[in-house]
Amino acid sequence: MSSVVSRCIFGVLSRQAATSRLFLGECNPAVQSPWFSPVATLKTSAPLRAEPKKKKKVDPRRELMVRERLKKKLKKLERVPPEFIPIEDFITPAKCLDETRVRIPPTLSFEESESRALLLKEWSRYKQEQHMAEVEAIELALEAQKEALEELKMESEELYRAALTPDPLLLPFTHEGPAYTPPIPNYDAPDGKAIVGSSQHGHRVAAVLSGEAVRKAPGHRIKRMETQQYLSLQKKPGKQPVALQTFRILRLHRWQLPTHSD
Amino acid sequence: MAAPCRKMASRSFSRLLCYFSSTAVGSGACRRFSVTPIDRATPLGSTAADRATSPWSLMAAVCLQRLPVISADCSPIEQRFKQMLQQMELEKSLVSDHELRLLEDAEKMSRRQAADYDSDEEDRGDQEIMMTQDLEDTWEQRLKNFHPAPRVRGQWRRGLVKVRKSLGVKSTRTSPVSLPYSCLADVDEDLSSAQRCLADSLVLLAEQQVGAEKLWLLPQAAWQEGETLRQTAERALDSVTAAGVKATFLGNAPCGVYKYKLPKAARTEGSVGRKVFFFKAILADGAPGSAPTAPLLWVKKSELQEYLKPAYMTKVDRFILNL
Repeated sequence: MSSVVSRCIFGVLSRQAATSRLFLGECNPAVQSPWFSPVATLKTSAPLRAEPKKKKKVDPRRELMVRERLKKKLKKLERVPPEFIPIEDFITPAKCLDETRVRIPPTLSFEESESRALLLKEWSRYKQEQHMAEVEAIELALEAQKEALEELKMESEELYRAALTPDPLLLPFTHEGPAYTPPIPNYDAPDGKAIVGSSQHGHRVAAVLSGEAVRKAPGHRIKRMETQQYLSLQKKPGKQPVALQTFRILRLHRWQLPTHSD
Repeated sequence: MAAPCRKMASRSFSRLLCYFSSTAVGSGACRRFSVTPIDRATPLGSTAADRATSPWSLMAAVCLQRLPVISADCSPIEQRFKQMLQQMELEKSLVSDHELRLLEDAEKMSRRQAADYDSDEEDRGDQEIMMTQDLEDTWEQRLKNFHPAPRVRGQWRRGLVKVRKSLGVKSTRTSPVSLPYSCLADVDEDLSSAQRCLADSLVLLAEQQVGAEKLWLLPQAAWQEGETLRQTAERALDSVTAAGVKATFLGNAPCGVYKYKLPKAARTEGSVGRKVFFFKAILADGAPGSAPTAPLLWVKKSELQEYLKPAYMTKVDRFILNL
């Protein structure tokens, strides 16, 4: 309804503007400059005509209209569900689908395949025994603890209650687990290089490498920096990289060569 | 009427308890544990009343474990399975970039060596000078330049000794790790060192005076008024080890209990026997500063039997996990 009214008003305005333009005639383009106002126009400008300035009424309405239209557009956009950022790891890279990389599977002899099957069975038996032994050990330990708590309860209620209270300082508890080689005493690890980038979708992706060549994926921007700089970046709030992909960390830590099969 | 009934009930109850505990421990093996029932007042009540009437004196002990530092060697079946799995994974995999490069290089070499080789045909625009084999060699060189700490101790020293004796000269191999001779050999056999048997978890034992004799047991201390049992255990650990030793106690609850009755000569009005509550702790990383105050042993679970009394051993064996 208001739009209809505004449209009528616009029509009226434009007609008035048209009539004023007819009066001004050829001098119309020159009317806009404040430095040059021909005598002819003075007679026909708005203040002399003593017309009420209708622009004031229409302008706020016009602005309101513009704003409302924008808001409607925004609402329409918001209704559309946001596009998910694709998980890079789940997309098979084109390299893997390359035909030249397919290995010819070797033909196994009967003995070989038999021995493999038998070894698999032996392994499953071995693992099952291991698991049962673990479960038994845990059950024994739990039984021992239960007995201890019962005995304590018989002794004194207060000590029993103190034993049952959880220890807030215990967690988070970390312990560096067994590595392949023992730690070298007083070892000074050399620093590697950190590469911080941003992916197409705006979130940060960081990689800590040792200084090997990095191939830039399309849509990524990378920035090379020293490890210390990267670590200091991490500590600042609001500058955390959202997705962190650490590739081979060749920074030689004092715990060498994590436990691996080789 | 009510009182004698209660007494009889408690006597039969304690008899039942003793029966159960004796079957668990083993009738012939216990030295100090007797089967006579103990007459007790009501089990519920305030601490003061409890402690006053209870004939058991409390003690707390700490079971400090040094967890494994290196991964254990694979058992034979694990070795075979590992090899088979690697073979199978190789067969199912795709050819990697490095392997492709090797194949290309091999092709190039064969083309060059062929009779009709025209070097101008090859586009040498932006070819790398480095061959793949050279790359591999540089990587191997970098690996060799790095010297990790030896995994198996003792053998290196024996090897060195042999070399020195045969050549009669100083071995040219310089290692960045300069450990004294005595440290390398027999580290595994030195029971008082916390660096022995890096692949197993070790438990701390201390020799303490119990009654009339000195016994090897988990470090323990008597409970005092106004502290929890965990604090007693911490005190026990501090009294036995050096000042720099850091241990994380795993919770406030005890993990096991061992109760025994004192010999008749040592029994008093207030204490007929003792209950020892065990608390678990894990040794944190760090070199101990000064020497320990009492003789200490770091033993594996399999070696515990040689040092502990049988009754004690059965109770302690249950909560020491060798996983």
